[in-house]
Amino acid sequence: MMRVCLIGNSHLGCLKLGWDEIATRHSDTKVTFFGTPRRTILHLRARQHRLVPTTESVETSFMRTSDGLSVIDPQLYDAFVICGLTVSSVLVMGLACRYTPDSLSHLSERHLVSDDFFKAILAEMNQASAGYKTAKRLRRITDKPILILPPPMPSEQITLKQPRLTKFQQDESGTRLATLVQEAVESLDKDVAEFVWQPQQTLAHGVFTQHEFSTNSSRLLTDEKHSDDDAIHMNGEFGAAALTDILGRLKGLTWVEEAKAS
Amino acid sequence: MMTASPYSNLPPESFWKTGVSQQRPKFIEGLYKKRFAISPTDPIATAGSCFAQHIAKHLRSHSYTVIDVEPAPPGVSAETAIKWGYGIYSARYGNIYVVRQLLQLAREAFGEFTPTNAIWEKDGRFYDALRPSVEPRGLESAEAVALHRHAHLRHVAKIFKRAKVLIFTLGLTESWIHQEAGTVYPTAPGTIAGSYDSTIYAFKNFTHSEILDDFLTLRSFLQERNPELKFLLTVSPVPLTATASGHHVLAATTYSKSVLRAVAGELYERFDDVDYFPSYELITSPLSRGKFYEPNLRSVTSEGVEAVMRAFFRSHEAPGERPPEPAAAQRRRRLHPESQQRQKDKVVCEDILLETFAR
Repeated sequence: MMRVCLIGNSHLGCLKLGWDEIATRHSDTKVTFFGTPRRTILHLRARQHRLVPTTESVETSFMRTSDGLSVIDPQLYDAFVICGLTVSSVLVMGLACRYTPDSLSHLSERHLVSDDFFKAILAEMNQASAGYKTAKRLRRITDKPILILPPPMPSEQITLKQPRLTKFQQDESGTRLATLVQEAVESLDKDVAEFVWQPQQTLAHGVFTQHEFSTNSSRLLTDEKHSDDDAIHMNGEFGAAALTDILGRLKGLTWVEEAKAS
Repeated sequence: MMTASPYSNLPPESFWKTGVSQQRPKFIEGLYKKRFAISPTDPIATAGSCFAQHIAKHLRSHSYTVIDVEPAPPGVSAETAIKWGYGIYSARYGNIYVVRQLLQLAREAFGEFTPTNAIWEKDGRFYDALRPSVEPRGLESAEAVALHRHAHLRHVAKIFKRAKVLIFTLGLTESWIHQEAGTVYPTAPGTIAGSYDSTIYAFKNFTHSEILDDFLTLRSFLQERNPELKFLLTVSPVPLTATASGHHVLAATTYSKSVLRAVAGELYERFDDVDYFPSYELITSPLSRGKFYEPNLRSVTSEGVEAVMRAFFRSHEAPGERPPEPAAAQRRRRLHPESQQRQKDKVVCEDILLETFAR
């Protein structure tokens, strides 16, 4: 039995829905969810080798999402996945609109920056993110594998609300931007955590998610649906694909086996 | 009217005893009297050698309007920004050590100069020879360097059109030039990138008259485009890291600084729109007994910088400390507290690389 702990914010919702769909195909796996809204995951402290909420609201959210657990005890899991808590693709696209990296110089030369500098900024932003900080806190109390799954790329529908992002759907711009993002996190300490990316089949133009994966998305703490024009949150189909990828990856890691054995 | 001596009615600062011996270096009286006022809303451009970086930083922290036409994105740590040449001067032109270099930058920004051999290569990466330190790893292609320079120059032209005051720190007289075309480079070829070929490049130690002429040309050139522009000159108290003049580095430093100080003095005497701020004197004079230098006897201590800026703001009546940061900025600063502290007094000096050549 592989025991996986998923920690995250509202983006955990699609993974929970996805897990409900695929759980029967993974009878050798137990998944526990610890969700709390937005960046409130930062209200955690390491105490007695466990991550403990420092506010009542986080504690309540944890208990609701994990079926009664209020603290994250690394002893109970073989691997950890931190979801939706690092830099979002929407933020990266916004940055690239104002500070255009070399690779995208065909878009604008107003504030041209080198690819190196752009990647350094992205690395810093990720380092300062709630997800990476949580990974570091966790790493201080466990040697087990920690993966970081960034927030889903927004649905292509986001361009209806933010037309300036359509430029990333043209001339391979989105794909080039995605490459920069992936190269940027390469510079982060892999001993803390490893980044994993959403499945290829869900992507559109590198930095968007195909629209079909964002329809009928649900909230994490209630069964309510997100509004129809929500382009940020994904549905269970997306969650199932992402989780299948992640579990496959974890099963392939020898260190998970070592963690299980210990 | 007759008096006992022309010295008898002079103020205390005219005498060494009362002006220097009896003063404390951190609070010296009457060393600087401003020639013209700089209001907090006057757009200020800064350029020069590494010491100029301190001046720009302190002016910003005292709420002066220091132009920055190529700002780093908000939230980037000071360490990263400085590494890529952001936030140091009014644009990412890096250190400008000699007046000829500033003159050629101004001309180039207005399309009246084209540098020769302006792109240098090292290990398959390409560098802007006129500001080689702003991209630590260079760029992927010569075309990318040209594209970046083109964008940079557009921003530089805006500075010269907008500024009311240009604060320029005269750094060196020694430079490296393209023999045939005369293009001046901020570093010797081969130091950061490129390679040194004595048939192409040559050492040049600018003389007093050459520097003066260059500044006169620069002043006319800029004021034709911006008649309101005034100049505030300083001389960098930072000694040469190395000299290629053939003289002892101490003698070469004294020559270099003396020439620059003399040029600044002559410009001050001749033009009402040129002010001179004596930061050089404050740091290097016997009054400070060398204690404004770090143990390497070259870098200026933060205490020295503070003394300099105190003298400046005493005359210029600083509009005040920077107003409280917005909450978002405070949060960003909290993200990188260590690097902010580390960067506080750090300046970027390409010439320090020359120390690696010292045996």
